[in-house]
Amino acid sequence: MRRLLGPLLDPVTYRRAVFLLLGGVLALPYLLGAGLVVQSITEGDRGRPGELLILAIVAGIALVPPFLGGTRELEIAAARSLLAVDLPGHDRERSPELETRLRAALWFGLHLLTGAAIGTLILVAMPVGVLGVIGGESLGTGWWWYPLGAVVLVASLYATAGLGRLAATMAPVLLGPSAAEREADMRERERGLAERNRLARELHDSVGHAITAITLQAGAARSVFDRDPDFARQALGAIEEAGRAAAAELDGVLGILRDQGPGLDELPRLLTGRVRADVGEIDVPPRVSREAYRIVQESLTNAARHGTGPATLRIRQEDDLVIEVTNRQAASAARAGGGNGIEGMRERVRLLGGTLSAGPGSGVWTVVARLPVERP
Amino acid sequence: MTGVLIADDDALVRAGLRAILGAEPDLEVLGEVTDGADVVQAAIRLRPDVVLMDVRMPKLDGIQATRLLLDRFGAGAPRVLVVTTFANDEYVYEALRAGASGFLLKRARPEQIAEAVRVVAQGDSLLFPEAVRRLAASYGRPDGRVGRADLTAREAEVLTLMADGLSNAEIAARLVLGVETVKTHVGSILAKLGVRDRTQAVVLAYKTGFVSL
Repeated sequence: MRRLLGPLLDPVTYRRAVFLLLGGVLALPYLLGAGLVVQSITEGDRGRPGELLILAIVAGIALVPPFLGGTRELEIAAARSLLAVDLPGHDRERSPELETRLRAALWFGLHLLTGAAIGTLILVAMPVGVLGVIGGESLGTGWWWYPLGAVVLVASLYATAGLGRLAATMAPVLLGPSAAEREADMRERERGLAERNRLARELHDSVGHAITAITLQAGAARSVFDRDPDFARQALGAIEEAGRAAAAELDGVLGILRDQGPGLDELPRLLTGRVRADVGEIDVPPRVSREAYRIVQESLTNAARHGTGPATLRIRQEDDLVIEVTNRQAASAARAGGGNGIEGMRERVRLLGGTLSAGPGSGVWTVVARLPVERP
Repeated sequence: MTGVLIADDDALVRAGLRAILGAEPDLEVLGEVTDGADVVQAAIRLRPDVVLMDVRMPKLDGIQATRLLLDRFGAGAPRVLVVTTFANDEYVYEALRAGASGFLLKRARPEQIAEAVRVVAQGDSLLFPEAVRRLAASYGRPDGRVGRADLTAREAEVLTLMADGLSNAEIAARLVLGVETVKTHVGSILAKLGVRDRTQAVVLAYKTGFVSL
């Protein structure tokens, strides 16, 4: 009995039902659109070609949403919170593979269909069932309305529970990353791990070694302090030197730890169709390269958000590395000083000893970053 | 007087160790080498009782140097005390396996460093029994090569206490025996197991499962 009633008493069932209904809500515009098309075709007199054209245009528009990255992102977020499924997030930086897009589109379609079905069930079948149970006579003739109402009611609840569970099972299959994407993620993690190990080794070899030598020298100086003041003096000098060198080493290693991230060699990831890029020959230290990548990334994001039309990216290495991003400003976007993002960029550029300017000029927003390239 | 040879590629470490050991009246630093490759030659020339051996050296590391030393001198080889920067250095275990008698952290206090040299030279107690236990744990399944049959009941008892890290004097007190008697038992255990010192006897005892972890 408990097992039989379990699904109906479990709050999870109702959270999943909300997820299914969400699909129904998303399906409404489609139903509306379909209705309008049918109406305009049946009532209009455009002739066969006109009807086909309308059909083709509407179908084309309808087919876009299932394949959008944003749709996948939304479905993943909804599945995570309402279906309680553990899914890796949608990666905006990386365009999903065709296979992933197809699976997400299939999921979207199924979600809409199921949602519409459940919505209909809840909006139509359930009230009918309830009416049947509480007042069968009002619906018409026959005693059989009573049991039928009860059956419809219970069946609707179980159908909702079952479809919810099915959705939770299928979500990882249709919304999860493809095998290739999983492999790429794994490689990425491995790279991170290898880098961490390298840093651990570096700390071990440089700083650990220096501190050990310092400790040993200090111990030795203490034990011969009175008997051999010359050695003690020498040891103090050595301790000072070694300490200074270790602090510098630590600086370097911590710098690497702080600065992790992609560098300019991964620039193509940022160059979408909306960017006209003109990138010259570049050879800069990793720190500069990583900062440059972040500047380009942030500027292009800003351009896409506030600007209009394609953005232009120009990178030149003269004495300094000069990065220039321009885009036409959207009429509505009146940005005076720039937001936090620009302040953050400016601060980081300053730490590298460079300069950054950003601002509007005759309808064009321009960001120019100048990073000094120190040769070691 | 215990003679010591220092093998380390870092001049600061060598100078520190030399000063610390030189301050002890019963210890004498006979010489220094900067690489494992020079250890055997220096040992032949200087005849040290103990070699303070760094693990990582440029041409030949401390583990290889320990092996060469044992190959060259056999049972009469100087005791090797491995000096290391970090406690969880796996090379330390390898060095113990290669025949080193103990290991020492470079960050140990000067008094501890001097004491470690004495302990290793005298061979009547174990340096860091805990580390030897961990080393044994890394061996995997015991191969049971040393059976109880090889040792007398008393010797088996003594070996078990050695593995617990007890010194000869402590073992004597525990078993109500004279220290000299315990020394005799230890000598006979080493002979029967065919190992050259206490550390190696305990390593073997763990390795074979004679003493369980």
